[in-house]
Order: sequence, then C-alpha cells, then structure tokens
Amino acid sequence: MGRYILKRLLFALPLLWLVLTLTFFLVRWAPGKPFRRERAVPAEIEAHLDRHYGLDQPWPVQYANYLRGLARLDFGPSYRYPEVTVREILWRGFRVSAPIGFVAYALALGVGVPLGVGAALRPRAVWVRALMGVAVLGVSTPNFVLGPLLVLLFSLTLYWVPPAGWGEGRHLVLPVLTLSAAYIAYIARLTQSGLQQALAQDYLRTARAKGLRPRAVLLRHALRPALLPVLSFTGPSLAFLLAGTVVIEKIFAIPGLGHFFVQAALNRDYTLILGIVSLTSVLLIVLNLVADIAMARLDPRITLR
Amino acid sequence: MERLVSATVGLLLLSACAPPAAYFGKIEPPEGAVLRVGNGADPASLDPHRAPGSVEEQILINLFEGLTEYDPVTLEPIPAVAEAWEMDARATRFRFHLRRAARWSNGRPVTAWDFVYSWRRALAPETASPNAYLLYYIKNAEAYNTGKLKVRDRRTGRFLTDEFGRDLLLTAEEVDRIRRGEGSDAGPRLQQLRRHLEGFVWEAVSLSAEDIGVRALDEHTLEVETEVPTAFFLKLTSLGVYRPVPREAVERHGRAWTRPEHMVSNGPFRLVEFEPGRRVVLEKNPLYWDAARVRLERVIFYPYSEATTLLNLYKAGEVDVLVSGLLPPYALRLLRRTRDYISGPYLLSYFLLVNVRRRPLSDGRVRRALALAIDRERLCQRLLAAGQQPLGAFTPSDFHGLYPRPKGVTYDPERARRLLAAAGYPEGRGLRLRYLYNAGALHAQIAEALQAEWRRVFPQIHIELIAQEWQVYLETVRLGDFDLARRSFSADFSDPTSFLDSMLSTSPNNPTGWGDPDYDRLVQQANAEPDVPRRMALLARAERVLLEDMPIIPIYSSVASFLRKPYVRGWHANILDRHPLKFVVVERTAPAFDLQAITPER
Repeated sequence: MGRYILKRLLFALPLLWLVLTLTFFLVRWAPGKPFRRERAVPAEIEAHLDRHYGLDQPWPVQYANYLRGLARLDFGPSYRYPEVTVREILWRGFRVSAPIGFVAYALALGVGVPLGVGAALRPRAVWVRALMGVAVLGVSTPNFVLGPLLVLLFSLTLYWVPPAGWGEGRHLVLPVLTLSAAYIAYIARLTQSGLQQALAQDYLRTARAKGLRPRAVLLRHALRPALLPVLSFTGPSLAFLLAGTVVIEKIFAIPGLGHFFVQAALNRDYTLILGIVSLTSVLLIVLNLVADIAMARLDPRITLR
Repeated sequence: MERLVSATVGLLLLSACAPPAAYFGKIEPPEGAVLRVGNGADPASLDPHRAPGSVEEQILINLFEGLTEYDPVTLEPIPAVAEAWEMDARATRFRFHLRRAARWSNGRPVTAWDFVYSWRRALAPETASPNAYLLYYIKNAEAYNTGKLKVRDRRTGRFLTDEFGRDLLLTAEEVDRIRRGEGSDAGPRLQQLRRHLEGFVWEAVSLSAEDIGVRALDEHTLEVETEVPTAFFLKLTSLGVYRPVPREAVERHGRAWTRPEHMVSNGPFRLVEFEPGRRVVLEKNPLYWDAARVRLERVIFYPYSEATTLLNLYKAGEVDVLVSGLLPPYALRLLRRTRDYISGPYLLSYFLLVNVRRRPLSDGRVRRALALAIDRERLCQRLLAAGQQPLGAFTPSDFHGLYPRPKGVTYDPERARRLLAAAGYPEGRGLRLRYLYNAGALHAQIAEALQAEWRRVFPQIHIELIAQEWQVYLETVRLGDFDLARRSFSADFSDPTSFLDSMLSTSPNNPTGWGDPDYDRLVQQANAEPDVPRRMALLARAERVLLEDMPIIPIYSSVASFLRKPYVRGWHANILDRHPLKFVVVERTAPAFDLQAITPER
C-alpha cells in the first residue's frame, strides 16, 4: 500500500509540471496584459509597467524565474492585486470555497444515500417516487436557474436570508442548497442502482440463509458494495467542489476560488491563474488517490498495486 | 425654497401612504452610522499612485486628502489640505497654503514636503504609475517620468522650445541620431527637429526628481510651476494621483504599505479591512482635521460585479447605494419609475473609432456618410433606457456653458446617400466593413442597431459584426486591426481637454491612424492659453476640425445612473461619478430622509 501511494505521487509530479508549463505559456500567448484598461497609457508608462511586472523579459527567463519561486512554494504577487500575494488569495479563497463544498456534499450524501436506499427497497412507494421526482428535477435544473429562483423566494419575497454575500452563517444557506441539489439526485441514483444489483447477488441469499437479521444483511453485506460507485464519484466531485464553483460563486457574490479563477482569466492575472490551476490539480490528484484507497479498503476484491 | 417645498410635499406623501410604495425594496437604515456601497469591482491597488481607475478612486479619495477636494455636487475644487491658494496671471505658478491642523492618522502633521515627496514618487519610473501622465502638466514631470531629454542652448542656458512655448522633449535615441547626423531618410519628425536645432549650440539634459516644478517654500507653503500656462490646474489637484502618500509607511513596508495593518492616511477615513472579492472597510479617522464634520463611522465597499446580484442586495436592504453604471439594462425601465433611481449628466462619450488607414474609410466622404446615416434619437429611445443623449460631437458636455461646443453631426440620410454615392458606393454597393466590439449585451445591441440604421439608408452595405473578449478586443484595437470599433471614453477631469487630448496624433488612445497638424496645433495652443474664454474657443475650433474629418463617429453621451436609499443624503449624481464620503449622511428617522430622489420621467 505504501509503495502504491508513493508510486502514484511520483507520477503526479510530472503531470503537475506539464499542466503548469502548458498554462504558463498559454496565458502569455493569449492577447492582452494584466494591466491593460480601456484607457491606454503612453508607451513609456507601459514600458515602466512591463518592467515593474518583469514582463519585459523573454518568456524562458520568466518561466525559469517562476519555477524557481514555485520550488519554494512562492507563487509571487498577483499581477492584478500587486499588494496581495497569490498564496494569500489561494488561502482565502480556499477557506471560503471549501466549507461550501463540504457542507453541500455532506448534505447531498445525507439526503441522497437514504433516498437511494429507499428507492431500491421500495421502488413503488409513493413517497419514494415523489422524492425521486424532485431529485430528478434538481439534477435537470441548471444551477444558474435554481439559484436565482431560490433567491427570488427566500430573499426577495420572504426576506429570510440575504440574496448574496459572504461572512456569516446565513450567507451559506442558498449557495449550499443550490449546489447540493444536483448532487442529491445523482447520489440517490447511484445508490439505488448499486443496491439493486447487490441485492440480487448470491452471497446475500447466503447471508439471509444463515439467519442474519435483515438489517445486518442490508448494512453490512448489501450497502457496502452498493456504495462503491458513490465513493468513486466522490473523489473528483469533492475536488471540484472544494476548488470553487464558478457559477454559484458568481451568482451569490462569494469570494471563493471559482470567483478568483474567472476574474484572473479575464484580467490576464498570470500568477493567479497559475496558482489556482496548481491548487485545483493538486486537489484533484490527492482526492482521487484517497478515493481509490478507500475503495480498496471497502472492497476486498480490489488490491492496489 | 424649492427644496423646502418639495421636502414638505415629500413628507406629506410619506405620511399619507407610509410605507411609500414608490421605493424599490426594503427601507431600513443599517445599524449605526454605516454606509454600504456597491462598487462594482475589487480595487487593483489602494496606493493612490498605482491605482488605475475609478473603482479605486472611489475608495482612495476618502482615505487620502489632496490639496483640494471635489465639491460633492459640482466637483469644483474646494479647500482641503490647502486652505487657500493663488496663481499668477500667466497660470504657470501656483502657491498653496497648507492647513496647520492637517494630520496623518499616526499623528504627524501633513506638510508641503509630503506633497513634494509624493509627486516625485508618483513620477518616478520605478513606481510605474499608470496615471503619471496626469501629472505631466507640472514642469519637467514628463521628462523625468519618460526619461526624455530637454535641449539647452549652451550660450544662453535656456531650454529650447517648440512653436507653442513648450520645452522640446527628445528621446535619447533621437538625440543620438541627430548627433550622428543621420540623413534625409530619418523620418519627418527627426528632420523637423534637425531643422529646428540648426544654428544652436545645444546640449541634451536629462531631468531628475529634484527638477520637477514642485517646491516646499516652508512647512506649509507649496509652490508648483507648470510646463506651460495651465488655467485648469486646480481641476487636477483633486485627482487621486495628486494625493499624498505617507513617506514613513512607504519606505518602511514597500509594496505592503497599503495593507490595513501598515497604512497611514490623512483623509476623513482610514482603512481597516481589505479582503479581495469580499469587501473593503473604512472607518472614520479620528485624527482628521475636519473630523467633527464626518458623520459616517464606517463604510463598506462591496466589489460585486454581477448587476443582478447587486440589484438583489439593494432590494433586500443589504446595500444602501450603488455607484453609477451597475444597473442591469433589462431592469432600467422598471427602476426609472422608482424613487431610488437617480440620474444626471456624466462625462462619457460612446463613439466609434474609424480606421482611416484602410480603404475605403480613408475617404472622408465615406466616414461622414456613415455618421450622417445614424438616427441617434431613435437609438437612444429604443435601446438606452437610462436617459442617454444623442451625441453629434466628441465632447459630451458644454461644461456649464463655458465651452462653445460644436453641434457636430446630425441625422441626414439624404446627404449620407449622396456622399456615399459620390465616393463610389451608391446604396452602399460593394462597401464591406468590419465592426469590432467587446462581447457584452449592451455593446452587441448597439452594434446590431447601428447595422440596421446603416442598412436602412444604404440597403446594400455589408457590415460584419465581430465580438471579442475584453482583453482581446483591447489588443485588436491597439494594433489597429479593425474598420470600425466601438469605444467609450470618460473624462479624467471636467474639461474638454480630457477628451480632445486623446485624439492628438501622438496619443496612445488614438489608434485610428488619423492625425492632423491643425488639430494638434489648436489643442496645444489652447492648453497653453491662460485666458479661459479664449482657451475654450481654441478647443472648440480643434473639435470642429476633428468633426469635419470624422475619424470618430459619435453616438451618445452617457448618464450617471444609480440607486440610492432615501436615508442616504449627500450622495449626488455628478459628471465624474465621484462621491466624497465626508459629506454623506445616513439618516435614522424617516422625516429626515432625502425625498428629493424623484427623477422626472422623460
């Protein structure tokens, strides 16, 4: 197991390097510059700005400097907010995006899994069918529609929660609801089909035959394999959720990583783009690894090599 | 009197039908003397010398106080750190008398030396200030900032000047080439310079920070010398880049001096929090010399850019006022009927850049025909619900009647057709043009409307619309890769120069390829003219030259339009959308609400 983790992590390093290198040159290749505005400045001032940002140097030199900084985990100052470092923005953004992502995913699991179990055990019950209907509606409503609808109801009609913003618990309500809606339905579906398959397996008949209580059969023997698809879905989903969700953060004016990612791309904030890309890549790699390890733990048929 | 009457009427209205349904959303003043402002974006920098634009300026003018401050209604300079000033008859020497009570937030007095230090810093090439060009009116400032050289006559010790009395400015490369005596293939400017320098024994002089025309005569007296007579200099001293920075904090903390824990400021407010993407928080500065007058204790700027999100926050009572230009176009017709909606003239021109390098737009008749074929009245009524006005000239205002602005181009389809036919494109046959704009709902709608306008007059014209992402669009315009490109330009300060300068042949904001020696001469001459009416007349002549040649096609002049809760007083619509918070009050009780917030329906 230890060797396996080491191997995966060693593979991850060149991958990360490739992603960062591609990003580094792609953003510089795109037309525009971090400090360009509608009002153009005299050529001499533009030259001062280039020098100030180190953009007057050839790309390979800039690239070498960047890698040198990165080796010390120094992402440099943001080009757009020169008085703030990229590391600071990443940390702040992560502290905003991560709680939303966690809470939303936890909510999705907490509602989705029982719903899926119910659907698998009593597929014809009215309440199951009604709830599944709502869940399917949730997954098929894009979040840029659902979000504003929730705002209209809870913020602008009932005045219960603020329509946007960040800083207090009440700001969490609407974004978390909007975000989890899509995942609830998906997780419920995954649980339901996994459980239905598991219930038809021979070893379950054996378990029942040897006199285990139905509850134990369900929880220990049926649900464990049934949740494997949910688990493998969790790795990448959680990575994307923690790295910030662009649309939700835009609608609800949340200063998370997704917000900064879009702003950075629009502003050509080279260092910030690279910082967010590296953070997202690391999250994706690590969480996928964790999901794989957890799968191996849960499923005796899987061995990691 | 009028104010009193409408206030009474408003009060009656309020008591008759409380709560007044004519307002948009909740009307509940926030706890305490707090103002929450929707500001549209994060400040890129809180350093007055490095901050690029109006988003930053909105915050900065409350942290740092300049020699003068904007009047909240007229924006004319009013005493701030300077309590009095005088200028000489030629408008080249300005003397400011600084107030003895002015303090930095660390207790140190604000002195004339602070301004000397600050302006030198703003102009230092290492500072890389994007707005340094606004200080170029000061003697030797441009030479120092750009590293250009002045030319001195070795016999008299005087600097040589050009025909407008402006000191000659040469790049090191130009000096080199003249010295080496390069031949006639050296380009027109170099040849002209060589002719100009013939017969002189001259030397090229580089200027240092100490040469800039700003001096402290004593602790409380600042003297400024301008490059040429600059009658409008006092309109500049309220600008952000003219405001002082605290030397001790800058030298101690370097780039990090603007962080809340390090910042020292001299304005009515001080910085307590800056979280990108979330908010900027200011608190009243107890050491400010006029602190007794400041009524707000705390101000929060929200950087949200999504217009609908801001509108929701406003309706839910989480935001008290929005700066101009943040209202979603689809909601304007509804919002205009509410009393929260405030609008007024704003110095912003929306126009098209015409690439005169390219055929057929190199033909003035084609440019004029395109300009004459647009019914601006219809466009404004159909499309622009905030009350934008049709614009036939380049400058969007007559500056309170001071500026004899030319009338410019109007709608005349008959003449347009004749002109285009004379240019060889009857009915627009064979005329294919590429219209460039940056992707965005409003610009797309305007582009389509203009396309329709031209097709109505020239049925066979072919206009290709090209939408580009913002930064790509800026680059394409800069490189001059367009036939027509939409553009808007807002003034730095309230003077026609702020617009007309941008069309000088040397301006970085003129990518049209158009340059006219007469125009350049008139603008330069005007800006060296101390007599205001004569100066304005010269500028108007320059604008007529511009409109005669039509390297730009004016479309409309914008309005400042925003929402403001009735309990916010002292936040006015004005031509630059600047709002010094020193004068803003949040009222607690309904009778004191500002009920004048009624814009007559147009």
